[in-house]
Parts: sequence; C-alpha cells; structure tokens
Amino acid sequence: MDLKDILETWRLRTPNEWDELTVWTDLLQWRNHMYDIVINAFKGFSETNQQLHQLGYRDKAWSVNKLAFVARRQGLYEVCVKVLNNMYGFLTMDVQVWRDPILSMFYFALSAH
Amino acid sequence: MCLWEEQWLACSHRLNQWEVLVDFGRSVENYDILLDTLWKVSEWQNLKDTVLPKAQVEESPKFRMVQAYAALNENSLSSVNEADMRVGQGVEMALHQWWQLPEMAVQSHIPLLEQFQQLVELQESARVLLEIGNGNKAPSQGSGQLVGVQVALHCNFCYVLETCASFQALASYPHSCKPKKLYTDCRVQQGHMWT
Repeated sequence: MDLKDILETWRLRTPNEWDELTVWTDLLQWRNHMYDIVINAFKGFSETNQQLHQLGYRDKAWSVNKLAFVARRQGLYEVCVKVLNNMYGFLTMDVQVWRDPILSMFYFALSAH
Repeated sequence: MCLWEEQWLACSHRLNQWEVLVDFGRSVENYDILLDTLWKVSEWQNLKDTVLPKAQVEESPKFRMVQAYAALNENSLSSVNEADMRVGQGVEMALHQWWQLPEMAVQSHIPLLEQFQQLVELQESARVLLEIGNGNKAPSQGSGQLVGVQVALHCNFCYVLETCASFQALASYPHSCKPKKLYTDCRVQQGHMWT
C-alpha cells in the first residue's frame, strides 16, 4: 500500500542528528500534523483492522520521540520536555504502542535532571 | 531590524517558542515571521484569512510551502490539487535558485536541499490525503486516471529526490571518518551529477 510506503520512507528519511533543530522541527511538525490526520481517518478500524488503526499512532510516537531525542542530544533540554508535553496530544495510547511512550518518559526524566 | 532583535528571533526559533514568536510577529506585523510560525501553532483559520492574502513577501519556495500547508489542511480534492500546484511552483523556484549557486558544492547548497526535502514530503502528504480519501469512497473512472498520472509523476520525482537525499547523507558521511581529500572528491563528483 502506498500510504504505508510513504510513512516508512518518512521514518528512514530524517535529517542528520547534528543538523540544526530548526530543520528537524520544520519537517517533523508537519509530519505530526499528517499523523493526526491518518489517526483520525482510521479511527473506526480498531475492531476490523488493528494494524491500520495503529499505523498513525505508532509513527507519531516514533517521530515525537525522535525529535525529543535529538533535542536532548543537542543539549536543548527545555525543548525536549516541551516537545514531549505538546506534540503527543493523544493521551490514550494503545497498549501495543506503549513501548514508545515509556521511552519518552525515559527521555523526559533525563532532561528534567 | 536591529541586531539583537534578530538574535532574539533566532534564539526563540531554536527554542521552539512559537507562541512568543506569533505574538511578536503580530505586534510588529512582520508577515515573514507569521507565515513561518502560525502553521506550527495550528492557527490555520488565521493564517488563511488574514495572513496569506495580506502578506506581501518575496516569492520564495518557503512561501509556496506555507500556501501548500494551508491548502492541504482543508483536506478536499480541490485543495489537494491546489497544494500540488503550489508545490510544483515551489520546486521550480527552488531549482531556479539551485542553478544560480556555484558549481562546486559547498555549505550554501544545504538549505536548499533541506527545502527540497520539505517539498517532497508535502507532495507525499498530498498523496496520503488522496489515498485516505480514496479509501473512504469508491473512485470514479475520471479521477482514477488523474490519480494515475499524478502517481507516475510523483514516482519519478520521488526517485530523483531519493537519490538526492542519499547524496546528502553520503555527503555528510565522509565528514566524520574519511580523510578530507576523499570528501572533496565525493563532493565534486556529486556536483557533476547535479548538473
């Protein structure tokens, strides 16, 4: 499916870790918006097609974590916390995508120190 | 704008303080700043109604991108087509700027490469929206053909830019672990490929 291909490419096609954070935010902020659209589009599929239903959640969690990770690596701890606070939006993450929220809690703790 | 103001703007930019930037942009009516920040705080209505029609900024790929963002946000078939058109114009402008750069690939090429990536992802976003729309309703014959053409075009373009992206990745790779000479060799060869 084309949609899946595109989303997979997005994961693979990130800036370099040492690129300025503005480059990262410009890209990932828009992606985040697109993930929201994908999540909303497949809202009704939670019973019939689990995989499709979680597609958006999974990638959204991944990209928010990635951005937070890069912000932390570049020493921008405040930004890291801010990204984690603001960009999720969906507090009810599914059980199977929990691994990523747990990871984000870890970054959160690291930045808060 | 005075120096310290510019420094402050760059600083807030880096710290992701979009709300502050929006407020500042409003108070001094700087449309450049507003165009850059409004979509990040999801003030789409504001962006579409007041800023986009009024903004008298230089035509640039960035401006086209913001127009495409706003169009895609509406999420209807006509707006997706409009976004596609804007992206096309943006690509054209970016390419125009590209060939004005010196042949030898240097630091100055990087911002444009980044813009290219954003443009490609916008195009892909349009595809995603079309796909979602198609999934919800059975496609009619006519629109099916249109989409087919768009897919073909998109694939070609995507392929080219995928290569560009890997070039960029490669370009930064020797930086860290290979001797300087190899790095320049790579860059020169890539420079040829670009032309």
